[in-house]
Amino acid sequence: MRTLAAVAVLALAAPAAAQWAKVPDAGVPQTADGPNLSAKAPRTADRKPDLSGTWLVDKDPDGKPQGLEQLVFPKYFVNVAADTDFDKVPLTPDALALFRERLAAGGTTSPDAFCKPAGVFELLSGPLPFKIVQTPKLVMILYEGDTVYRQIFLDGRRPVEDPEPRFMGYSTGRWNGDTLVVDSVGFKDEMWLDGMGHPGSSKTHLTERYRRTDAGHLAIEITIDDTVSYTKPLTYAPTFTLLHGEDLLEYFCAENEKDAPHYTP
Amino acid sequence: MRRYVLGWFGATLCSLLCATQGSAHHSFSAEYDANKPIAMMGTVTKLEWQNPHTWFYIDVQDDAGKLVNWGMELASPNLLLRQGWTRSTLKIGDVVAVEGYGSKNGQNIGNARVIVLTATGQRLVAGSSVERTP
Repeated sequence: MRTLAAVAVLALAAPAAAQWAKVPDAGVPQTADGPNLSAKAPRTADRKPDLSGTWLVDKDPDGKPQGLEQLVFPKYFVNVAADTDFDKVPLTPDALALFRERLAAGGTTSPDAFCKPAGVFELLSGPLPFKIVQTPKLVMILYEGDTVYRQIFLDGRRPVEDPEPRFMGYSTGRWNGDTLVVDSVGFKDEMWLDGMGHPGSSKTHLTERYRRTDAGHLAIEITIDDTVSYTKPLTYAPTFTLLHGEDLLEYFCAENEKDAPHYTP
Repeated sequence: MRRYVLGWFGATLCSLLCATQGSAHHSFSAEYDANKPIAMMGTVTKLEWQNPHTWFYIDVQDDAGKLVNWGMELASPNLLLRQGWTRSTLKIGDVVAVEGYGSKNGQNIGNARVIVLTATGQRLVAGSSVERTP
């Protein structure tokens, strides 16, 4: 083996047309310098804030490149309780035991690592974007990760009683002023809320409050109320930036998964 | 209210793991060893531009002169595409110098961090930085 000699500076060419060409978002004003992401948030024909677009969670401004990908990961993707001192997260005893077990396994037991669905929490704040498609009675969120979707019904339907558990839950929404409030229930047990393995149970009530703060930015306040796993609700508030003009790619984890046999705690 | 805390166990683990649990698919620590830096030169024999991770394979001459095939893992093609890679950035037959980290289990696989195309000197990085260990 040989040590690498000093070499030229990275000079990757601009991406070739390997995917859809960029199509500017209609709700974002164009200027001579490009899209004005600080312009007022667009509205739909029924005067609601228009949340439509392809969004990617913002990186942790204090984060450092990490992981196999050497990326600065979004902090809540790694740890939903990132805003709480690590030893003050209000875990119940059973959840604490499960969390310890997951941490001790060094990432070798995470569902993602075996191409099981990542679930709504990791997909929301993960490094792959999602796309919101908004209609008056139905908001669809299409996640690039796992190539899955959520339906958020705004048609006044009642929450499902005794829901059949789902990875993505059952979601209903309503407008509170300029905020879309989404309530979700019906999740599976033994969820991973983040890369570290904070647990979530089927008793989880997820509340999300979506606000498009301007043309190029989205804020979601997330509250996880799960009395099985936490003695009080967890709240965090990731922010997102519009991937202006971009569309989603595919991501099917099982396409070429070959790491699992190599995992070593 | 009773509060259940992680205590020293959690604090110690966090100091080790909080910074290494982020990953699309699997974490670095599930498979690779930050204490096993590797550096080698070889010829690309195969490319798998597929999720959940891009892999490329190189034939490397070992100290005894025998060719050994190594598998090198990169980020998801989705993440690489958004950093400027395409499926033809690396091609079969390219001679490359690779730096990265070896596997915990001792197999001939690695997490490539820096790839240099020897024909042009072009330096490819797998992520946003090549200066940090995991």
